[in-house]
Amino acid sequence: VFSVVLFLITFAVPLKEAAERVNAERGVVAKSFPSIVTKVFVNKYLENYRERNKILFENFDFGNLFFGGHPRERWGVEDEQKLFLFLFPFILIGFFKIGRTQGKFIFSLWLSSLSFLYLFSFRQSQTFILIIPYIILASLGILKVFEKGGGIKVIVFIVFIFGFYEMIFFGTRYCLGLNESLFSPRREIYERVVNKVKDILRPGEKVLISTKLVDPEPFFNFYLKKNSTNYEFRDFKYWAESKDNELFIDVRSDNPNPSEPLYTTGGGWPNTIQVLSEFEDQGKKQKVVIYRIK
Amino acid sequence: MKKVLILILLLGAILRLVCLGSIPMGFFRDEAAIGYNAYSIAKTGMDEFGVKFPLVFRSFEVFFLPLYIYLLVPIIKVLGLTVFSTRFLSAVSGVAAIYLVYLIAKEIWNEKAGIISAFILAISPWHIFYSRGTFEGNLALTLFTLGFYYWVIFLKKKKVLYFLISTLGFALSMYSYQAERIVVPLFALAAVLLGFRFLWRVKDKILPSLVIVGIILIPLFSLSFKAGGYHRAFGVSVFSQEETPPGWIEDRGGSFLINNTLYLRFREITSLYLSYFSPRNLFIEGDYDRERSVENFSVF
Repeated sequence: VFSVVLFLITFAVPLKEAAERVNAERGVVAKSFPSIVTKVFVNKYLENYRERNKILFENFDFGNLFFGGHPRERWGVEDEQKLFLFLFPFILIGFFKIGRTQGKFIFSLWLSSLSFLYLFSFRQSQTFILIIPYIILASLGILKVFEKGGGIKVIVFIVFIFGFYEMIFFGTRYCLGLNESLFSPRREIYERVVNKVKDILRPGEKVLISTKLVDPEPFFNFYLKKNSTNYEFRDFKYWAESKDNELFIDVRSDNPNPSEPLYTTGGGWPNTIQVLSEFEDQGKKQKVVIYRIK
Repeated sequence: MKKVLILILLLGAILRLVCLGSIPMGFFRDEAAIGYNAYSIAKTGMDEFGVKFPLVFRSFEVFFLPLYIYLLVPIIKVLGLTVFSTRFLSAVSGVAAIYLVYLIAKEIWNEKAGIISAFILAISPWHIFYSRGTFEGNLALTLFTLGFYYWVIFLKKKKVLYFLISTLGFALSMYSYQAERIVVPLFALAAVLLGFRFLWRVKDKILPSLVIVGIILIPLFSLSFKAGGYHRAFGVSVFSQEETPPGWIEDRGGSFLINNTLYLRFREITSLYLSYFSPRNLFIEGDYDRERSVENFSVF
């Protein structure tokens, strides 16, 4: 019944993306199977239903909730940990011990959140709203365990010590900026680059900034505290640009390949540029360099 | 009920045997290696490396335990070396597993539970997938299920013959697939702990069976000290991995609050264990390794 309801709900969802995927898949399987088979088993309604179900079930996945995606991360899926592992037994206890009235309240909250996510195709990284039911279940679980009393309190005490360690572990990494995603735009590199540019920029000089810095424009606006009108954000090759009155901000990966504009066989910088400053961008594993053309 | 069971077995057989040579389309490396080694044994009595009736078959960097290959020999002699014949044993053991699951559920609960269990296994995408490929693990599962069924009825009916068949099933499953070499001793340990009092009472009756199975297992035990015996365990165990655990931050040494190996390994083991029970793994997406699952299908 649950599956049928979910399937019917998907009819309310736009089918464009699913239809595109189905067309591509049908093209592949049509070589091996008659078209009637592909119509029955590869169609946009079923594809849409499968896709929505994947999203829905991501929100119940232990790896996604407690382990930052592991073991899926082995296959290249990037996730962030949502809840501390020590809460897991309490959430389970809370789930099984919740009373009927309380259960209805939590279930309605859960169902409304999930319906919203299901219909609008929010992925697990955007399902922050579900934190409330999980936290309520965990707190209920903790209460139930303490009501039991006796020897179980010792186990709970050990679990809490473990939880305390998890918090310190997470906090240390977070404060040191070690557990942020590699693709996080919140990199300190922008502030350092902008301050350096402010120091060395000549009057009337134009600044060319490579978009390989990843969305640099809003960060330059922010740290310059003004609209960056003299700044151009685009990909470029320095030798193809005007040599006069231009300052370049470019990047080179830590292991550059010959197709990169700033590649040299010896690993140094090209002779034709005058390097003014360079920064290690560890998050992106690249060097950011400010230079002028000699 | 009997008619329903026959229909379920028929359904299971159709889902596992029809077009077995052409579906699944890919015939992968291990399947070809198993098929060829069985063919080579049938023709010459030697494996692909010229070893006479080996206890473990080497192929590329993996080692196959022998039971699947030796059971395949007569099938290949009759049907010839084809994709169908190579997969046939796995498919048949898949159908046998459906019947065994029926028997187990019937024995523990009742016949209705047996019918439902058999039907669920018959249509399980996971089980169909493993039955339609040359997977020694599928044969091992069937033999393990056989051992488990006879273990259940041994505990209920207390007949020594059932104990012998049970332990034989478990022992043969250990000759089929590497994972069973760990799972069976763990099961045996748990079973002995749970039924210690009863087993102690009947120790004299079951001793001959234990001796027989012990003798059967001697070659396998001796194998444990050779590369073919421990290679797999060393390759997949989280305890033997030389790589850093998931969550380890590169360019940082080990430390209590940043790269705590003990904590990170604990998380790794827990996440692997829990992932088997994750609703996503059970109902939506199976193994991410496409050699081990069908896209868009999982266990159920």
